Amino acid sequence: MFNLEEMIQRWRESMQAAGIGPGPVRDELESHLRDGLDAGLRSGLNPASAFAKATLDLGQPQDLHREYHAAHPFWARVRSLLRRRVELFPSDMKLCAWAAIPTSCYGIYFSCLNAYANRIFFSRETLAAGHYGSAIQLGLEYTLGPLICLLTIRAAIRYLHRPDFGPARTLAMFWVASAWYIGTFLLMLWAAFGEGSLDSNGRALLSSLSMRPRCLTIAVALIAYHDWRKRLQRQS
Amino acid sequence: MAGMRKELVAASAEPMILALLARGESYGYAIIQEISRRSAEKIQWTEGMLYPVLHRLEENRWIKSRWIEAENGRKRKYYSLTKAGQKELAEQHDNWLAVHDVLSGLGKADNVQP
Repeated sequence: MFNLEEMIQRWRESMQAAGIGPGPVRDELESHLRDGLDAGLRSGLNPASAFAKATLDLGQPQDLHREYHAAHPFWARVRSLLRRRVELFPSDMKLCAWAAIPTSCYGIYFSCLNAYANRIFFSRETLAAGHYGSAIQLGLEYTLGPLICLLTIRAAIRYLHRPDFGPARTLAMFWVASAWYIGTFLLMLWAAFGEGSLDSNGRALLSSLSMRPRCLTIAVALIAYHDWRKRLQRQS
Repeated sequence: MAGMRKELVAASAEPMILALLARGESYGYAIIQEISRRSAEKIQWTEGMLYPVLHRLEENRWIKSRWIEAENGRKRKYYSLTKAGQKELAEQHDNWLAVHDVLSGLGKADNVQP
């Protein structure tokens, strides 16, 4: 007795064995197979013949795999992925880099002078007091802070305008941003409580909280500048 | 299409799919049937050719897809054109028209004077 569903299941397994996947790709091919089956049945073929014709029309699993592979060779996929990452916000990245370089250089220079004078390159005391004793930390803060803010805001904007951007990627961006904020905040708290001074705790909190809007301001300013430039380009 | 080079089939598939989807969202099986019907069965795409192209177009964000469940519970993946796809279609359409104009201007081989 011919069991259509069982045959389709076997066909799916042969597709999987041939390396055709992931699941949604096989789902789509199965949907196509079922459309072909329906057409065969409508034309008067019996289920077994309709199935045979539909699978024949669809092609052998190895041939399908070859076609998919030709269209998506590994390095082409990697290049496409990289290109997409680079294309994510190319102009924003550039803007951010330009904004981050002078602020980072200034911060690092100032911090190095301070650190050299005090012979302190990283200490709880300087962190707790709300100062940046570490040149590296300062550089990272000024470079990555605005960049992460910018990417986060951009991700949100893109997601609102383009549903195909995907909630997963947007969530990932927010997660990265949050991890950075929470990480720096905890670092400052650790420094402040480690010192055990209420005064310094307060200062650490204030410093930590004031740092975020600073990064956000830079990010928002960059977005505004970028959008203004794009509008000008469109008008011209 | 008998005698039609594979390269030409592959090259013309993108603009044809984009143009078809510009008329409304559609799914793989229907796209193949529609192209076959419009070309009076001169162009016969295989599934192995179509789906990788659809996926590539989707990767380029020229088209987007969504699964739609029919009344009978069957699911189909529908593709539709994005704004970037509309732009790409206009560009590819112009390119193909330019090729067409040149070929039309030159005429068929049997009309050419030796």
